[in-house]
Amino acid sequence: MNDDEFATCPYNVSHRVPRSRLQHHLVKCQKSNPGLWICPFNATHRCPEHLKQNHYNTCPDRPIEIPLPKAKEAQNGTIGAITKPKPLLQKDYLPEDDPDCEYWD
Amino acid sequence: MLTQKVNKAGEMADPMRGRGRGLALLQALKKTQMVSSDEATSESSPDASATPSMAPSAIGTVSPSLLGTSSASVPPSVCSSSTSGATSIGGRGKMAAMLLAKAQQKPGGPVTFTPAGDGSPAALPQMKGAGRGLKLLQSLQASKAAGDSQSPKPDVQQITEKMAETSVSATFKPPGDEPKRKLYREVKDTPPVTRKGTSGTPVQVTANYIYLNFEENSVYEYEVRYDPDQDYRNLRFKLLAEHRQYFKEKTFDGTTLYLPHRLPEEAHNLVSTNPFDNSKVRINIVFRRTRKLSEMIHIYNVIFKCIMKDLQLVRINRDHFNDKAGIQIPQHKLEVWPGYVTAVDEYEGGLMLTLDSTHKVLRTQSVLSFIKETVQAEGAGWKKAIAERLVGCSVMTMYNKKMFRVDSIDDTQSPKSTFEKMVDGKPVQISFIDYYKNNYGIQIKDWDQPLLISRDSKRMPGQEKPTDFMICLIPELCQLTGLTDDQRSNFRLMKDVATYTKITPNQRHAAFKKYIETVMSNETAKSRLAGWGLSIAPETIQLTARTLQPETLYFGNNVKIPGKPNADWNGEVTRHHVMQAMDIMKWVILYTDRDKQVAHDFLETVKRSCRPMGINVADPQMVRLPNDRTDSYVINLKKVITSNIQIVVVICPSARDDRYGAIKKICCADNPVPSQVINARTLMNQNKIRAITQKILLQMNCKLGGTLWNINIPFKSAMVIGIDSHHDATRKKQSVCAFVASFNQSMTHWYSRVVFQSKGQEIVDNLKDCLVESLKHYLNVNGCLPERIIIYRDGVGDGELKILQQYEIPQMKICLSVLGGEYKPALTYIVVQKRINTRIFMKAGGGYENPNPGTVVDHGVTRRDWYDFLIVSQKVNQGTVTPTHYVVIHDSSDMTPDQCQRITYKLCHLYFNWPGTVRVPAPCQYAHKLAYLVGNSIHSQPASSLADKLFFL
Repeated sequence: MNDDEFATCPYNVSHRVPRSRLQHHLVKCQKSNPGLWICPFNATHRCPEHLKQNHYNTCPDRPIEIPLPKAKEAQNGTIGAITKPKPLLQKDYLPEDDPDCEYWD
Repeated sequence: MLTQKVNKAGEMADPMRGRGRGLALLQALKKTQMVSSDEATSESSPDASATPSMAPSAIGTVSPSLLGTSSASVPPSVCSSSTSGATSIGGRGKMAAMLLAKAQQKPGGPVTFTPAGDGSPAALPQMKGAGRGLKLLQSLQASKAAGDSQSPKPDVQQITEKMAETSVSATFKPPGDEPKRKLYREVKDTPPVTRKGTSGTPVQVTANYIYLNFEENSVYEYEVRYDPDQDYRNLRFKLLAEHRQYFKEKTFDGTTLYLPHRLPEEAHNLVSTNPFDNSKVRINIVFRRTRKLSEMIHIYNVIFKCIMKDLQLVRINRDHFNDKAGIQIPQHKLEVWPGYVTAVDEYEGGLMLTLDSTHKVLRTQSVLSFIKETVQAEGAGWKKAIAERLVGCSVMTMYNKKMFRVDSIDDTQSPKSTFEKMVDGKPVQISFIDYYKNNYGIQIKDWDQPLLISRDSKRMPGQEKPTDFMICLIPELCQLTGLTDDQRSNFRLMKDVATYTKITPNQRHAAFKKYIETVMSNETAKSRLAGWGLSIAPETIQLTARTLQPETLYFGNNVKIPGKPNADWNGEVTRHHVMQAMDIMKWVILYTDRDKQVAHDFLETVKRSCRPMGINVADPQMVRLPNDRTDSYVINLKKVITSNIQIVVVICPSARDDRYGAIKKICCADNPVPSQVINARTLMNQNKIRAITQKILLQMNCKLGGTLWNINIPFKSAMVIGIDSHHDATRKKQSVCAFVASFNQSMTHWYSRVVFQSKGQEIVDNLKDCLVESLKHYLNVNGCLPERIIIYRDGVGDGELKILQQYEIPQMKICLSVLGGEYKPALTYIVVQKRINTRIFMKAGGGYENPNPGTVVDHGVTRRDWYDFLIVSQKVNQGTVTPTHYVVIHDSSDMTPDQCQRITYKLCHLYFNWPGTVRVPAPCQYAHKLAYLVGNSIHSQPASSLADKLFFL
C-alpha cells in the first residue's frame, strides 16, 4: 500500500487519491458529480462526452488492433496444430426424457 | 503493528491512524519542511526548491532507530522535561526523527519538533464523515425511502438493491439544532435478509458461533478534556487511570469515554498528577449523550479484546495465542502455539461471537544461531547465503512478542554500536547492549553479531510520498517464525506439524468449549462482561443444515455413475472412457539425457493406459536434450513446434521456476501450442507411475479441448463466468486478473481472458472488454447469446462487497447494452469467499464430524443484510473442513435461492484437474489457476488461439 502512486480524480481535479483507492473513490465521486463517459477499456478512465472519441482512440489500455490474429502470431513464430473444441450437447449423454434430466427454465 | 501496540497499551481501539514512531518522524519531517520553507520566504530567497527534496532525502538519512522503544517505554523525562519548542516525541521513530532534524538543521535556523500528538490533533477527527460522505448517505436514504414507498413487492433485485442502501454504520443528520453532531447507528432497523433453500436432506449441525445475550443497557458517552492539554496518548490514559475508582468498566480512546453507568457529579472535574514531572493536570469530563448498548457493536469487539488480555493470551496481529500452552516439536526445532480468533457481529440469528481456534508455528531457533549455522555450512559465501535465507522472513522479538519483517542484514553494526537517545532532554549516545540491559534487563551475550534491519514506511497525511524508517533488531533476541520452503517440502516435518495444526472437528469443538469455560471461570473476564450487562451462551449455536443430493456423473460410452455421498470419483475416472476424447496423433516428448529411462517408462505407461480411457495415442517424436539448461529447452522447443504438432510434453529433471516459466512462455504466448511439463521425479516411483501417468493423460486431453465427464446442467442457455485475481507476493509486479467463461450448454468448455492491472488491485477495471469478447465467442459457437449470465467472483473481502456492487456490476450492465438494445440477460453476481472463520460441524454419535460435501447452511450464521449461504463442497481427509461463503450481491434472474445453491454446488463438480468436488465452483478454480500461471510464469497475455481451451491446467 505504501508504494503506490497517486492519481487525480476525473470528477474533481483537487481530489488526489492513492491509485489503489481510486476505484473506491470513483464510486463515491460519481454520485455527486455529473455523469462522465466511462471508457470501455478501463473503467477508471472517465471523460466528458465531447472528448470521448479522442480518448477512445488514444486510450493506453486499448488493445492493440489485430486485423488477423493468426497472421500476427505467424510473424512471431510457428504455432501448433490447434483445433477448436468440438461442441458437445447434453442431449448426447442425457436425453431429455431421462428422469435425471432436469431443466429449470 | 504499531497501532496495535499502542492500542494494547491503552486497551482501546482507536480510529486514528499514525502514532508512535511513524508519526513522530513524519511530523518532525513536516515541521522541518515548514520551517525551511518559512525561512525561504522570509529571507525571500529562491530556496523553496529545498522543500520537495526533503522527503526523498529522509529515506537515506534515517538512522538506526531502535527496536522495542514503544511509546510506553519512553523514559518519562523525555515527555515531561520538554520545553515549549523542544522535542517530546513518543515512539520508536523518535531517534530517527531527531537525527533527521539534526541533519537538516541549518546554522541559525531553529528546528522545532512537534510533539508526537498521541492524543488527537483537535481539528482532524472532526472532519470525519462530514461533507461529501454525509451527503452521499443522505441522498441514499432519500432514494431508499422513495424506493420503498413505490414498490412494496420485494423481489430479488430489490433485495440486492436494498442491501446496497443499508449501510453497516449508517450516518444520518438528526433533524435538530446540532448539524455537526452525527449519530452512528450500528444496529439496523431493516429486517434481516432471509433467503432459504428447500431441497436436500436435513442434518443437525453446529457452528463456531456463540450467542451473546445482553441486557439492553445505556452507554454513557463522555468527552475527556485535559488542562493543560496533553498530546501524549499514553499519558492521557495514565492520567485518567489515576481515578480508577470511578470507572470500573470503561472504553476510552483518548478523547471519548464510554461507561456503562452514569458518572457521579464529583468525578466531572478531576485533578491528576503527571507522573513524569509531578505537575497537576485538570481533567474535565463532559457528558455528551446516552446511547443504547445494542447500537454499538464495536464496543463488544473491544470488550472481547480485553478479555483475551484477561486470559493472558499474547496478541500477534489480530489473533491471540497462548504462549504458555505451546507444543514443542523438538525433532524439527519447532513450536506450535494454540490461539483464538474472535469477532462479534450481528448475524441473521442475532448478536453472536465467532470463535475459531488457530495456530502459530514458531521456530525455537534464534536468528543468531541460525546465522551461525549458516556461517558454518557456507564458509566464505555466508553473507549471500544468509541474505537469501533471511530477507523476507518474519521474525518475532522474544521480549515483547512483536513481529518484524527482515529487509536486510547490516554487518557494519553490532550490539556495541550506539544510537542517540533522549535522556533528560539531552541526546545521549547509548549502545544496544546498555539499552537492552536498562530497559528489558536482557544481557546480550554475543557482542559481535550483525544487526537485522526492518524497514517500514508510512505515508503522512497531506503528503503523497511515503517516508521510510528503519528498525534495528538484535538477532540473538529474535526468533524465526513460519516455515521455510525447505521445511515445507519436508514431508515428515509437515506431517508432524499437521498433527497439531490440523485438528479434527471434535478437538476444535472442545477448544471452543474450553474457551467458553475459561471465560466463565475467569473472575476478571466475568466481571468485565457483567459490568457491561453481557453474557455468553454456554453452547455453540444449533442449526439445521441441508445436504444436497449427490450429483450423477456421465462418462463416455454412455456410462452413468450415480453420485456418492463423499463426492469422489477417483477410481471411475481412469476406468471409463472420457466423455470427449482428443486423439493425440502428432506430439513431442522433450527430455534430458539423464531422464532417458523416465521418458521411456512414461511413454510405455501412456500406451498401456490410454485404451481404457478411450484416447488414441500415436508414437511421439522423441527429442533428447544434451543438458538441462533453460536455453537448451528454449532452443529445442522453438525447433520442434511446427504447425502440425498437437501437444508438447517436456520432462524436466527438477522443479525450477525459471525453467518452467520459460517453457510456458513459449508454449502459451510466443509459439502457442498445448504443453505439458512433467517433473521427472514424480515419475521415478515405480509404484505410482501408473496413477500419475493416467492423471497426466487426462490433463493432456483437457488441454487439447476434450471433456472428461459431464453432469446435468439445468439451464438451456446460460453462461457461467469465474473471475479471480493473482497478486504478486512481493508486490513488485502487476496484478493479474483472469476471466473464464463457459461457452457450451453443459459448461465443460471454457473461454479465458487475462487482464493486467496495477499492483495489489482487486477490483477489475477492464471487465467490459472481457465480457464482450466471451459473449462474442458464445455467439460464434452457439449462434445465440446466453439468456442468463452467472458470475462467480473470488477474492473479495467483506469491506469491498459494496464497492464491487457499485463498480463492477455497472460495468457489466453497460457492456450488455452495447451488445444490442434487445439483449437483456438475467445477471447473477455471486462473490465467493473461501478464507473465512466460519466452521460447520455435523453431529454424529456423541461427537462431531465434518459435514458431507453438499451441505448448505443458509440461515442463522449468515450475514444479516446480504442474500448469502455457506456450502461445504469438498471432502477433506484431515482436519476440519472450511465451508465456502457465497454472497449474491446482484440477481436480476428468477432463480430461487434453492436453485442458486444447487447450481453452485453442481459447478463444484466440473474442475477437471480433480476427480471430485472442489471448494469453489469450477470457473473460479480455473480462473485462479490461469491467474496464477500468468502471474507466476508467463507474465504476458496468453495467445488468443488457446483461449477456448483449458491450456492452463
